[in-house]
Amino acid sequence: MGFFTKKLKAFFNLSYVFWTMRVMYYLFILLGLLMIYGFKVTNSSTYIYNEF
Amino acid sequence: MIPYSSFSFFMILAVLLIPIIVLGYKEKRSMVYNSFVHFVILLLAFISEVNQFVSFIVYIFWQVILVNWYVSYRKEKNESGVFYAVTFLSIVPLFITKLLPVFEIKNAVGFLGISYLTFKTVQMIIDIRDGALKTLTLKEQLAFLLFSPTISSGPIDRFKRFKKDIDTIPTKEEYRLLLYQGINKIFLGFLYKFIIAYMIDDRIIETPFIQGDTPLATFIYMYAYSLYLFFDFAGYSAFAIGASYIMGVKTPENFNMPFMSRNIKDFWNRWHMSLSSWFRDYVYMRFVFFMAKKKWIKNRHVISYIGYFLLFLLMGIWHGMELHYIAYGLYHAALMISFDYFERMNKQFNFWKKNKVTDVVSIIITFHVICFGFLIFSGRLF
Repeated sequence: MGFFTKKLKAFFNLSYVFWTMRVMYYLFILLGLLMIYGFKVTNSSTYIYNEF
Repeated sequence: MIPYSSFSFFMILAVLLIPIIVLGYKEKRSMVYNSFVHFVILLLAFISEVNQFVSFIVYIFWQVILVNWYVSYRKEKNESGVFYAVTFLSIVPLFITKLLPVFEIKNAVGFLGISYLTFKTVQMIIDIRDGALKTLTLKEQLAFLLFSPTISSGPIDRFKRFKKDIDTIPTKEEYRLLLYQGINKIFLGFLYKFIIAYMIDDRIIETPFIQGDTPLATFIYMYAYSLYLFFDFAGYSAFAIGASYIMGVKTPENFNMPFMSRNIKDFWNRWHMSLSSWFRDYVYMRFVFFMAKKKWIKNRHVISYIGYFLLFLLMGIWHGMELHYIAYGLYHAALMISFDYFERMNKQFNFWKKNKVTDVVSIIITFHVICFGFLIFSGRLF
């Protein structure tokens, strides 16, 4: 178990793996925004804590 | 235009930050340009509401005069009465803002971010009183108060920590890391606020079934609202902290996985951290020291429990004078006092042993207890 965890950690710490994952994470968020809001300049609702 | 609430705001922010990023990479900082950025963001925040803009300007003048007068006074004298009077005068605008809605009077005093500016000002006054802050220039005070990334809802920074960041220009490597972390936080903010919080609100909270009046609807609403509140506020905080980092200021975090808390004390070290630490340092600790010094009450546990009661009652009232906010504060005071008692008994009898199983059970129990608190907070119960 420990061996596989170590291997997995080492794999995700590889520079190219790390940056690929990071870029995918950013793209996933941008894609999510695009799917929800499209290309229109949207005004979201305000923040709950702005009221306090 | 409310900060971080629309994509057009982010576009303007991105354009404004470009020169700061270029200068950051050259190990430089232009106070003139930074001031211009703050001015533009503040203008965007208040331009649509003239009343708010006027209130904001008057408020800033009021606090600047108060704090500067107290700095010069403190060099000569240190009367407790004067300290209490200055603190009271500093809180007056916020107090009026919270009180007016109770009498259904139009609030012409309040503006976006008044609470957070008041926390910062009171903090400065207390630090001056304690001698922790001996000198304060007008430029430093304005830089701290008008730091635009955190103007609307914090996080509440500490003056000394903020000043250290403002006085230090990061090296190229340090700035590269700040920029990287800042961008990461802004993306995290988009994920939290514009995707997760939006989905919870749109797909769960706003559905006709959850808006209905059945016990099951209220039960589901309790968890959905708790998650929505977290992702909404943690999203805002991530934007504010991210923009601060890009401007070279390491604004403190507001959240640290609060739903993984093992108990209620742990929760308050993880939820809205900048506010809870402010209340802990400037309300609870001061009250405990004051009572210990005066020796009116001998039992330190009783002093601590009154301190918790005071802290959470004030925190509840700060959210608003409505019954559900006060009940929310008292609920957490009761939880803190009960947990403190439980902890003391457990030290004596060791009936709740610490191991992996009890850790998981503690997290589950705390999560449900917290969610019930947010249900009270939401105002759905009463």
